[in-house]
Amino acid sequence: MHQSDQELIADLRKGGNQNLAFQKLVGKYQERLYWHIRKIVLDHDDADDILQNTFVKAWKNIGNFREESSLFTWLYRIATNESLTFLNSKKRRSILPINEINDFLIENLEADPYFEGDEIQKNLQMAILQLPEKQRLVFNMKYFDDMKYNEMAEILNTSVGALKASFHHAVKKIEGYFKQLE
Amino acid sequence: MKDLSKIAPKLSKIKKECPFGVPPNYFDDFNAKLQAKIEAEIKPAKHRPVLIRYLKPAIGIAASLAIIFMLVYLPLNKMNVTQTATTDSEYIGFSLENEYIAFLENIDVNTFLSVIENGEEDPVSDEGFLNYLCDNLSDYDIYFESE
Repeated sequence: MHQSDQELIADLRKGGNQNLAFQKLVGKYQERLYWHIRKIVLDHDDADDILQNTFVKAWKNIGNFREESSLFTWLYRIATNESLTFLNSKKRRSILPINEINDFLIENLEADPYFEGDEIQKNLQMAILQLPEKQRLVFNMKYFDDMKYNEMAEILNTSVGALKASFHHAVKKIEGYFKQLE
Repeated sequence: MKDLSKIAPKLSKIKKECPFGVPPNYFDDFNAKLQAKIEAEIKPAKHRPVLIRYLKPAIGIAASLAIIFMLVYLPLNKMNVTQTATTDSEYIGFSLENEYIAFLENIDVNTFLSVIENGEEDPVSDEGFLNYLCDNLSDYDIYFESE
């Protein structure tokens, strides 16, 4: 049974129970965070690295956690920033234009040995990759994770209105992609 | 998302599922892997100061010795080369003297005695001396002696 977030935070800040509390934190949130990261970077090994980095950052900075948001929102924000930093570092290292990074992600998708979806799922993922980075983020969080706009606003530091508009545009573009396939 | 079927009918018909998979036991093993990573990050940070604490003075001493070596050895080395050149010429002189002594020792006793006995009463004429030199010394020996 998972401990409540308040109990976890209290244990993480104490000297004696830190390691055990951290393991419980990882066990509680690892899957949700992993899938969020995976949808952004697509590759399993990259997602694995980013997930580890996320938890290491959380371990190092738990003392700075001000409890203004929930523990999960805090972790989710770290994971999102780590994923975007990873993609930006790919852009910086690459001599290709920024648009080509989506091509890089598409190649990752096509070569992914752990992709288990059918043709329709693959087309949906291709459609999502056509979206600009932030729009893709919003779409994944709303469509797959069914996250509330308030929570998304806290994580992405964007207004609810902007997020609703972003999701609406994303949906229209994906629908247009499927119409083009016919 | 209730009105998704109105704005995106094709999208609304697609089954909402995650198409990605993970290696077997990935999530079961993740915690242990993460703990190892955190420990690895902590350990080098602890050891680094100790290592630097020992290395710094050693590097300093090595650098000082290197500087001293460069300041002392190179000039000394130059001086030794010149000295060796002069001692070599002295050595040459010394070895020639030994050769003359050895030469004198090898001269026929009678010849040597006659030179000594007759030296005062009947000094050796220049011609006789020259003949003696030509018979017993090489041109090189004569030249070098006169030098």
